[in-house]
Amino acid sequence: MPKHFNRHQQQSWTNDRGNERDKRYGFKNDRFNKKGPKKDWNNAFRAHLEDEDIDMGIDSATSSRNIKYNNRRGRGGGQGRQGTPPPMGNMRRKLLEGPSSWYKITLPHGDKFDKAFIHKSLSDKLAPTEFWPIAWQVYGTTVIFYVDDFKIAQKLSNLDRQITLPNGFRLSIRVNSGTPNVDMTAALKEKIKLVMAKRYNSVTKALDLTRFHADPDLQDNFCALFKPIVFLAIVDIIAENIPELEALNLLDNKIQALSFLKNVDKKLPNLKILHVSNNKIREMSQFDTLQDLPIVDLMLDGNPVCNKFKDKPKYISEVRKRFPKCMKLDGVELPPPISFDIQEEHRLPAFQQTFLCNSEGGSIVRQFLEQYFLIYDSDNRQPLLQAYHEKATFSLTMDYPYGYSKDTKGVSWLNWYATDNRNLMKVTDPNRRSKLLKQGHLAVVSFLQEMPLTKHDIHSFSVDLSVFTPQMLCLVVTGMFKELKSGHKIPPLRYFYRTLVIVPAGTGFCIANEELHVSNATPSQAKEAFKVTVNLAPTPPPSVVSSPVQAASVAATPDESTKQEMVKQMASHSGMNLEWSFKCLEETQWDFQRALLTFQNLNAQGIVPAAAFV
Amino acid sequence: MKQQIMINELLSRLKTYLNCVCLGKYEIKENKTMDDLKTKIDQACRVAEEFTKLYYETVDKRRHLLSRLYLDTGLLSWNGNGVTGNENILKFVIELPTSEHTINTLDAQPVLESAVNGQLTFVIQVTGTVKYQDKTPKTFQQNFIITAHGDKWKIVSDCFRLQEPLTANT
Repeated sequence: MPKHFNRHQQQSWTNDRGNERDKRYGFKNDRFNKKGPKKDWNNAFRAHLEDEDIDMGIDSATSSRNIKYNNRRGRGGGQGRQGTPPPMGNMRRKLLEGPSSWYKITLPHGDKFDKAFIHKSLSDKLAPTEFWPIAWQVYGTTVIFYVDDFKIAQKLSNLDRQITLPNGFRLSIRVNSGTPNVDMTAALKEKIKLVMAKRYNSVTKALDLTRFHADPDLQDNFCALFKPIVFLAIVDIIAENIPELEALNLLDNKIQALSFLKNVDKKLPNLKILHVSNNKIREMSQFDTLQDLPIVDLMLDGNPVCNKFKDKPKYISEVRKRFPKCMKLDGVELPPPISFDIQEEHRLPAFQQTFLCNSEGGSIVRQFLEQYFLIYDSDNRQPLLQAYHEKATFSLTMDYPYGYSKDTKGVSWLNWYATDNRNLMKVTDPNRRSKLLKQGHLAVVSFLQEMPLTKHDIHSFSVDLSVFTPQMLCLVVTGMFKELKSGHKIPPLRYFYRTLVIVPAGTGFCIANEELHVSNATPSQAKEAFKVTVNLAPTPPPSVVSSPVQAASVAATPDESTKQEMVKQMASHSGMNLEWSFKCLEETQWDFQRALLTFQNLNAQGIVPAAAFV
Repeated sequence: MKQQIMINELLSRLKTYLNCVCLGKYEIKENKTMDDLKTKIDQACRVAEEFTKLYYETVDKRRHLLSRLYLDTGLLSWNGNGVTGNENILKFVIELPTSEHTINTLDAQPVLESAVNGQLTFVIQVTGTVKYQDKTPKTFQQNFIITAHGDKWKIVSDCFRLQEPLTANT
C-alpha cells in the first residue's frame, strides 16, 4: 500500500517535528529516520485523544470525524487525510493538530513592522477571539512566535497572504506544530519567581498558576509548564521560598506528564489541594510521583485520563490508590473510604539498647562486663581463667553481615575466625562438633588468649538479661570492637553477639557457657563506633557483688578434679609427664599461669630433667 | 644372681603395671563422664537443628502456634523489647510484619548441669537474615535457652537482635 505509506510518512513528519522540539537535544533527521514510524503511531493516538479538547470548539463535524478516525486506526489504512480537521478556506497547506497543542508561527519578512502593529493587524482579523503571541522573537528578517490554541493556529494559517501590508506586500504566515527549547537561565528563573510571587496568596497559602505561560509578564519567554524543565524550576522555587504551600492551581497548562518529578513529598510537604483541570494528562500513573503528598482535594476534570474510566467508582478508586486521604474529587465530596481492618504496613518495634528481666541484675551485669572486658582488652587474658567455671564451655561462630560479604570491596576478612567456626550448619561430624567446643576453663582461656587483641567500645554495647535466677543468669551482649595487631593495615571494626550463661561462684560469678559470634560492623554501625571518648569508667561504688577476679581468688585451692584437669592441661602444654606436671603446679600453689611460666623459664635454661618428659 | 635381677625387674614391671591400673581406674571413670558429655553435646547439636527448623517455620508461616514453643513463663527480648509469658509473646510476634528467615550459622551447647539442677537444658545461637514484608534482608542474631519440659522442648528465653546501629529506630 504505497499510498498508505506516504500518508503515514507525511503525517509522521509533521507530528514528529513537533515532538522533536519537546526534546532539548538530539539530531532531528537521525531521530526521524529511526523512530519516525513508531512515533507516528503514538502521535496518531495522542492526536486522537487530544481531539476531545478541540471538540468543544468545533461544531457538528466532530462526531463523524471521530468515527472516521477510529476506523482508520482500526483498519490500518485509509485514503487521504481523514484524520485532519476539515479544510477551512483557501489553504495551500493543511495544518495538522500537533501533540503538544503548541504552534509555531513564522512570519517571513515580519521584521519590517513592529510587534504592536502586526499583533493588532492579526487581532483585528481574529476578533472576537483573543490572541496573545508567546515568545515573540526576531531572527534576521523572520519573526517567530507561538500560540497555544489549535483554533487560533488554524485561523492564522488561513490568514496567510490575506493581509495587505502598508508596503503593498501580503503578510505570509506559516504555521507548524512545535515548541522551542527552553533555556532555564538564572535571569529567567528570577522572572518566573516574580510572577509566582504575584500569583501567590499568603493568607490561603495558595498559588494560582492558571495559564502560566500566558501571563503578560512572561509572554516574551516560553514558560510553558508542560516543559519538564519549567515545571521542575517552579517546584524548586516553591520548595525554596514557599514550602508551606497548601494549594496549587495548574488549570489550563497543557501539562502532559508529571512522571519526571522527584521527591515532591519533600519539596511540597504540605500540599493538600491540587487542581490540574484542563490539561493533557492521559494516564493515572503520571500521578505516581505525587502519591506521597497529603492531597485532600483534587481537580482532574478536563484531562483525557478522566474519560478512560467507564464507571465512577473505578475512577475514584484509582485516585484514592494514589491519594488515600482525598475527600473531594472534581469538586464533589467523596464518601469516606472504607478500608480493611488488617493493616498491611506493620512497623517494627523501636530498638531498645538494654533489657533487664530483673532490675537487680543491672549492677551485677554492668560490673561483670566492665571487669571482663577490661581484662579481655588487655595484653594478657589469662586472668580471665577466674571468670570461667572450671567446666565452662565456649564456642565461636562467624559470618559476614548481609550485603557486605567477603567479596565486597573494602570488607575486612574474618579468616582468623574461620578455623574455629563451629557452625553446625556446615560442621556435621559429631567428633568435630565436640572438638570445636572448647571444654574446661583452661581450654577456653588458652583459646581466648590466642584470639586477636581487641579494644571494645562499651558505649556501643546492647545488653539483654534474659534469665535471672539464684542458680543462673543468661546475658546477651552485642557491640563493636577494634581488632588490633592482627595483620590488617587499618584495625578492622568487628561486631559481636555474645551469650553468657553465668553461675554464682563463691561470692562472685563465673561463666558456665559462652557462645560468641563475630561479624563485621556494617558501615552504618561503623559511624557510631568509638564516638564517645572513653573516660575510663568512674569506679562503681563498692557493692556486695564481687568481681569475677575476686570470686576466683576465694576458690584459691581448686578441688581434686580441677587439679586433675590442670595437670592434664599442664602436661599437654609443657610436654612433661603427669607426675612432673603435678609437681610443677603444686610448687606454684596451683596457679596455672605461674606454673607454665616457671616451666618455660626452667626449660629455657635446660634445668628440667629429661625424665620429666618420659 | 641372674634370677634375682629378673625378679627385681619383674617386680618393677609389676609396680609400673599396678600404677598404670591405678591411674587407669581414674582414666576409665574420666572417660565415662567425658563420654556422657560428648553424648550431650551431640544431642544439643541435633536438637538445635530440629528446633531452629521448626521455630523459624512457625514464625514465618504458622505464627499462631508459636506460643506452644515457649514455657508459660518464657521470655522474649526482641531488639531490647522484653515480653514475658507465652501468650504475650504470641501477641507481640503476631504484630510483627510477615517475615522470612534464612539461617546462616547455628551453634549449640548443653548448659552446665549445676546451673540447671541437672535438668537437660541447651543454649542455642543462630545468625542469619530476615526479610520483613519482602523488603531488603536484615542481618539478625538470636539466642535461645531451651529446656526439656516433660517430653517437650520449651523455650525458657529468646533474645533477638537485628544487627543495626543503636540509633536506628526501625
